[in-house]
Amino acid sequence: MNEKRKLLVALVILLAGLGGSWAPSVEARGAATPKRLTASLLAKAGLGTASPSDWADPPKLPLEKGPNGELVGTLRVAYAENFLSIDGNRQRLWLRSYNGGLTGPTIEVKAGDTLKINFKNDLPVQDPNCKDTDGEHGMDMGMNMADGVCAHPTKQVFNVTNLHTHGLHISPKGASDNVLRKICPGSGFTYQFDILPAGDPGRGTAKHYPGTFWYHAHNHGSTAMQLASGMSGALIVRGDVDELPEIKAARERIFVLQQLAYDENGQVEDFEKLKNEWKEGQRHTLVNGQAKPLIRMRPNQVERWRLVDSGIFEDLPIRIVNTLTSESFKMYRIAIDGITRPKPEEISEVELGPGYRVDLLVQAPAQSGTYYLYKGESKFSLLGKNTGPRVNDPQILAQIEVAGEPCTSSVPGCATQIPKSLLAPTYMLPDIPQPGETVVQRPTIKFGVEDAEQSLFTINGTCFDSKKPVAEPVLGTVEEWSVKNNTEQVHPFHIHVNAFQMLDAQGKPAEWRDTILVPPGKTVKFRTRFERFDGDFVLHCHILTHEDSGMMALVRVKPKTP
Amino acid sequence: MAEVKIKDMKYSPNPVKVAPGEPVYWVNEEDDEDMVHTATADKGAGNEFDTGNLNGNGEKSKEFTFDKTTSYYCKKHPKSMKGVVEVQA
Repeated sequence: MNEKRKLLVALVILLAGLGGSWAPSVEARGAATPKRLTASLLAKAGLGTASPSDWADPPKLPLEKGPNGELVGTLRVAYAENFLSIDGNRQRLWLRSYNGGLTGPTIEVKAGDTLKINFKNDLPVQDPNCKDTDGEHGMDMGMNMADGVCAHPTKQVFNVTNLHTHGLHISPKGASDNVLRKICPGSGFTYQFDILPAGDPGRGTAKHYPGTFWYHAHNHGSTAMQLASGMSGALIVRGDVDELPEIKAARERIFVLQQLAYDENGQVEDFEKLKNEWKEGQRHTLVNGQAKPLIRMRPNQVERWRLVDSGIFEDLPIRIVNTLTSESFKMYRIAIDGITRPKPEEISEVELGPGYRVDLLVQAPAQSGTYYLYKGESKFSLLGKNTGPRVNDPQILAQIEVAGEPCTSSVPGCATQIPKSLLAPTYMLPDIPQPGETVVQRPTIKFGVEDAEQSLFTINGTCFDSKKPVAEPVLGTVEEWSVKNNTEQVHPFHIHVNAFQMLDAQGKPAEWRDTILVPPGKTVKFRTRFERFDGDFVLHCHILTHEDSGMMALVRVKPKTP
Repeated sequence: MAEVKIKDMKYSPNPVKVAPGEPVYWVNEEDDEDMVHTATADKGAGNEFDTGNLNGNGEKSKEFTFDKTTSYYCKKHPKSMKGVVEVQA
């Protein structure tokens, strides 16, 4: 058979649960009728003629054992030179990075670990008056930014940084996941992340659930610039679900999906430019810092894919498998935002919003051929004076060659089975409410508009005030929240420390998440437990240019009074 | 006198048809007081006018009169909310 006849286009669209009346629920769409992709659509999606580079997972962060058994690693923030090739065009980049890469190294821990990160900010000084702060008394935001004021950040803050462990159920205080901390250029800090169970026996014997989380910069005002440079990486908590025989047998791939927003000099230095302009050619969603890497699989092979949307703005609707024969990839969602589902859910579409993670088991068809991981048209993306293909255009994310001896149980290292059930962390995240739990209704959190043309958005009528909480729940309580979007665009809502359980259209408990897209004019409802950790943390829109301009709010969990 | 209701992020009626000099006012009938809207003339598109912020739950604008057909939009929702005051001689 010639190549054209052999060419099978598999578009994997993963559409993560949007829809309904607006009560988002787990999208377990069955295997919908595949939609054929033509050669012209493939070309429009940037198929290209250059040979794809071979797949590469991000490097792992080396972790050494400390004197007390802790795991110790180093993250250095500095400008780094890298080269990015897209369709044979090679661009020199000079971007802020973690440890010199276009993607941060993967951090792997398990429940019970203490992770210490020696963190060094080696970016150049921009504001000589910058002072490190620990965030215990609000935040010193730097030039042009102040509590409660909606404003675009200026360059004096772009080299200030800190570290956030997105999705981890962990303390927001002190040396832990404290995003009010500020680390100025030239400074360093040793973070300590106690992955449950750890430390204070008052936290019980809870064991952090295994899953796919991620880490990224989170200093107010520089978050978008730094993530648009690539300052994000996967953070994997290993645990029981990884030991299920079918999952253990499957090769694992990590997809850190990013859009690097460099200008004609290969740099990200101007917030307005980031917000309004794209240089032609860098409008690609990269996978671990590569454009369209080549994945090789055998027929029938099952792999486990961990997808992380670490883009600052784009949603990623990854589309339905489309074939020229009746064969196609099968895809099963096994976790949302790092939280394992009760059982694999066969799906044909998933949509990743900024900050989302999805874990999949994917199974290659029996027939050899060339397939594509394909992103459909985004619902929203950075708008502006694009001079070339727009980021929200369809795009090929990766090429998948299915070839060779078919996987069977007799082929070593080749997984073919999908488990019938998984190990959802009901030990940590049982449905809300449980017997004895009282759910308290909180007044609606509202996304609003300060200035639509400047993309300045508010939460409960104001921009970020690091001293005035928008919510002050008490530790140990359970609340039901509504988040209403009074703007005309989608915003992904994210809250730190505690995951939340969505309510479906009937008001029944649905999936657990830490980030959810809220469409314009709509309200999402969920319930959450404020457990184990008191202190100040934030909720915000995960469109990071919005967050940096003020679309964020403080949450203060107060200790129980005796 | 013509009234334009604002509800579910839409103007109604749209276009609103008025005689020259006939007063028009806008009323924000969103259920949510915090769903703020405006009706603001497009630049160079007829008569200049701006209701300013109107809160939900029934806030009314002052009255405006027009002698030219005028297109307008909501400053809070400029891409999705557009309207026309159509002046009919």
